[in-house]
Amino acid sequence: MRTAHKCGRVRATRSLPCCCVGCAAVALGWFILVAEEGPESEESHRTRSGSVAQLEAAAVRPVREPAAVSEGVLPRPQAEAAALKQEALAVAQQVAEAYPDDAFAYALLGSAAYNTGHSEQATKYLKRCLELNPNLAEAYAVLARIAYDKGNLEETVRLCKEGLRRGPPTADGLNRLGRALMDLGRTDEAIAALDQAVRLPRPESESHYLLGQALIQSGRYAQARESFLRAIELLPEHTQAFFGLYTACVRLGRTEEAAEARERFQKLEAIDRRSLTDRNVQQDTLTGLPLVRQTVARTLFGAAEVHSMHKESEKAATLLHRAASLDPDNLRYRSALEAHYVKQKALPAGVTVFEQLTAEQPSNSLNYLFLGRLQSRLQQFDAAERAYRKVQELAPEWAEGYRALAELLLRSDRRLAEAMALAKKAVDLEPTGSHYYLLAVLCLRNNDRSGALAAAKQAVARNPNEPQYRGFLERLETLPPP
Amino acid sequence: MNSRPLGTAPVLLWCFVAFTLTAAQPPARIQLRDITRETGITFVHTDGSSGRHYIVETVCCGLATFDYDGDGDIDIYFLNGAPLPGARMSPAPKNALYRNDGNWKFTDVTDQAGVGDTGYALGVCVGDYDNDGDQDIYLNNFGPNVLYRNNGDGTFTDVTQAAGVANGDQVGAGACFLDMDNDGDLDLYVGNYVAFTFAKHQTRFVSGHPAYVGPMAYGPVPDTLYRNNGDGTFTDVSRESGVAAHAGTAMGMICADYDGDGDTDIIVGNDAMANFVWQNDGTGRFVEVGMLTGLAYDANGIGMGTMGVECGDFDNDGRLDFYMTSYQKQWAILYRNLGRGLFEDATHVTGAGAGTYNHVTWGAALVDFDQDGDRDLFIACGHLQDTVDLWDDTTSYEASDLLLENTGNGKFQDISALAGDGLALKRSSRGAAFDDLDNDGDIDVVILNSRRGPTVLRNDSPPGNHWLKVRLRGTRSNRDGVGARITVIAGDLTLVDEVHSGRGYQSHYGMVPHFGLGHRTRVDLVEVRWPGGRNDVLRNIMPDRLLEVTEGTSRP
Repeated sequence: MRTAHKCGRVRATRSLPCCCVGCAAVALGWFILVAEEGPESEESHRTRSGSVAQLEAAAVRPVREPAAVSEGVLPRPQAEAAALKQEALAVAQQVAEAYPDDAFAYALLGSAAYNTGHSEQATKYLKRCLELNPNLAEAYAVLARIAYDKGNLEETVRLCKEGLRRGPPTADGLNRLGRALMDLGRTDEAIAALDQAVRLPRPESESHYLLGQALIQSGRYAQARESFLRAIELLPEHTQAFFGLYTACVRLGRTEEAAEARERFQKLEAIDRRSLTDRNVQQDTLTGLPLVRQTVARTLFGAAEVHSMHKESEKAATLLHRAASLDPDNLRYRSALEAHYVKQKALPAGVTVFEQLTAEQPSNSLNYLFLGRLQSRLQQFDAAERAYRKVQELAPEWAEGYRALAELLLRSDRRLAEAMALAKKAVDLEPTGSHYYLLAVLCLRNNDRSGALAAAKQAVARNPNEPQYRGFLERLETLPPP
Repeated sequence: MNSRPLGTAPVLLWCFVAFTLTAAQPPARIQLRDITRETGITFVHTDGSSGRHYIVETVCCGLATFDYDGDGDIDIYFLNGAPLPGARMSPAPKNALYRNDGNWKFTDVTDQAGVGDTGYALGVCVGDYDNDGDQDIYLNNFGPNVLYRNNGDGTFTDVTQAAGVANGDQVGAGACFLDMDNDGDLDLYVGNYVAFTFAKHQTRFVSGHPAYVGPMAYGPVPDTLYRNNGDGTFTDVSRESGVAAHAGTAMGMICADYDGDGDTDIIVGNDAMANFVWQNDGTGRFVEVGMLTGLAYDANGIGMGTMGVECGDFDNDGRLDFYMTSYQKQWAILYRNLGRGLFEDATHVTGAGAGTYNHVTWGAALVDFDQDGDRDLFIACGHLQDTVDLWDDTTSYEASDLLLENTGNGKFQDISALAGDGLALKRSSRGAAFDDLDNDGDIDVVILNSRRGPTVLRNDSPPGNHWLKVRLRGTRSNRDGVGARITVIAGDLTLVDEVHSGRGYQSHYGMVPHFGLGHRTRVDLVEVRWPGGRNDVLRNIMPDRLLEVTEGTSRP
């Protein structure tokens, strides 16, 4: 299941939280990313997206030895893919060698090995990682995944439980545990694990879905039906949840509801299959190169994080730059790159890097956005404005280009009426609390008190716990009439 | 006819096997021994490849075990690929027929029999389509198909054109003979895989390594159904029967009365999409009811990469259950028959998927290898991506096959590591066939391995349990009783089976159904329900024998 971003990017809904500007990279986020997502495997040519297992089936299995490269027979994209894999492994190995007592370095190497199809080596590195830090729950998650790939369910269960024991319960860990227990036919234990998953603060649709499956397996069809309905409520296009609902309703004799669920399932399934077919005929999928680049970029990002932890910021910056080059749609890498130059107080160097990226990827709006942000920090307002206008040109349906320029004009106290119009445009495209707040501020600066009040109310309505919005609204409401 | 005395050699062999196995792990009750070298079989399979990765290479091919010369023992017919563009092979590969000479010796009689088709074979079924008392062969090829009529003298004649069953120039899959309208002659269902032509050929790369594309790169196609006109010719009734209404990616298939209503239905495994269940209205008109039955998807609503389709009553409740093999990172699925035409995915509660997740699985069968009264599972394994070892070490191109023992309480246990040297071999298996090759009463195994010679496994399980084999002779029904249902009652044990033509992974075997009886020394009743509903009932049968039942000779 996928959602489109207005900037033209697409992300899997079950990956990280939003990767838009402003979302901080969580600790070890790269580790999860590297291990959980990767270039699409060849399995996807035969399976459709859907359940956790299916998503897992679409994990990467890239290269071991680029034998054909040395023979000079690979077409260019394949040669590049093979070389990129070697690059990722080499970088991960360098990090592990540089910081032999760093668990994260071994976690990175293990994840990189796993993503290149070397599960045996990955296991070795991840075990080393756990020797260094036995509480690194994420390492257990990857080991559990490797065990599941091999069909070793008992080991999967053991590793999942160990990971959950070492860290806070996560939906992902509990889902994987529940799935493995179900596959072992240990239904009651599966239900217990998945019941815990759906009681987490922000339960996932997938947890409800899997709980429904476990309940079906135990013959508790009425409860299963409830779980599938909840899964659908959270993810209205959960194809497999409709299948589960159909099954539960058939068993319960709810004929009409079963027919409805079946119809919905068949429609969604046809869409899934069409999408798979479409992807299969795309040359990019056939070469796998874009996905390989993304996976390699994740590894480089992880290596950069490890370098940063060891204060090797220049090495980190080099790797972040490379990761951003490889994955043109990734905001996180650019955000980290920007943060590096800000922290190092090396804004001109940052501008140079993003100028290089814009030259490499002239149609990529993200690079212009970050270029503008750095130029703005340097008070290079005209240059920043040019960059933001480029963002608008390249991604006219993405609010960020309008928001950034509106903010720039506000900050530089120029053309405030135009800034207000830009903020309105941002609100139209993405009616978020922050966009309404910016609009409210600009309305006020343009002496539109009622407009400011209306926008501020909208901002508070969307983010009632945001003190800045609430304080602004309160001040507006107490202002004397003009 | 094999003449190995019952009761002595197996005991000695069993002692030997037990002695050679480690003391720490007692041998399993089922022992399958690789005796390929002793058989004299020299056939080596080719998929016709030259590194260009045509999709048809991945699915090549099945095999057949049947008694072609009517001498009472089971012969073996191996399918073969043919050179694809870029490949040169001399002499041209061809299918091979091996005559069973007894004592586990086989002789290549391909040329004498005239069945050395050099087309690109994918699937096969065997049946007496002309009801003349011998078994004919239908080949489902990539390219024109072939019907070999058995002349009854050890030779065959290619009658494809006269019969009208060439099926154009498609990519074949499994095929089945069935009597869809209960008129006493065998009709023919022909699976078609994908809309592939050389002009549409695609390859792709996984991490820099060349790989095969999946079936959806070419798209599904409808299957073909031929009605037997009763005069040696067939008519394509795909459209009027309803079969042409749905396009699929057929692989293995089986014809069986899944809903117990007395007519033969068709269950087609599709690759990377929902399976088809063609429900017969009794007259040869079909409706696709896969989703309604529960056989179309796994429990998650995933259209599996189904490879082989097999049926058998694993829980002895009198209903045929289904087993479907599938792609890597999918479990092979056991569908439990709930009655009323409904099935549930019972894979995980029974353990029937054990060992299958990290392999591509192909031929499979529910066979009572140890004759203890319940059906065990044999599953042929091996990846179809010949470069997979270079980019995924959780699986392998060549893999050991799997043997799951039915523990009798509705569960299966993986005993592959303890079940003899036959399970230790690593090959990229495709079709598998299951028959009693030495007429000692237990079921042996023949496996077609891609790009390799075949594997022949002799069942050397310890003796002691009793058995019954039943051969049918139709008089009003088709000659071999294809579609007939047999019920065997021995004390507390009730077993059912049907006679099938074409099953598993694009293969054919088992036309003489076998029933393991355990310790039971008498069969109380054998009931045969012939296609069309007529019954024969025999009582008080001694076990450990081949029982021949001729239609109409033993009315209830």
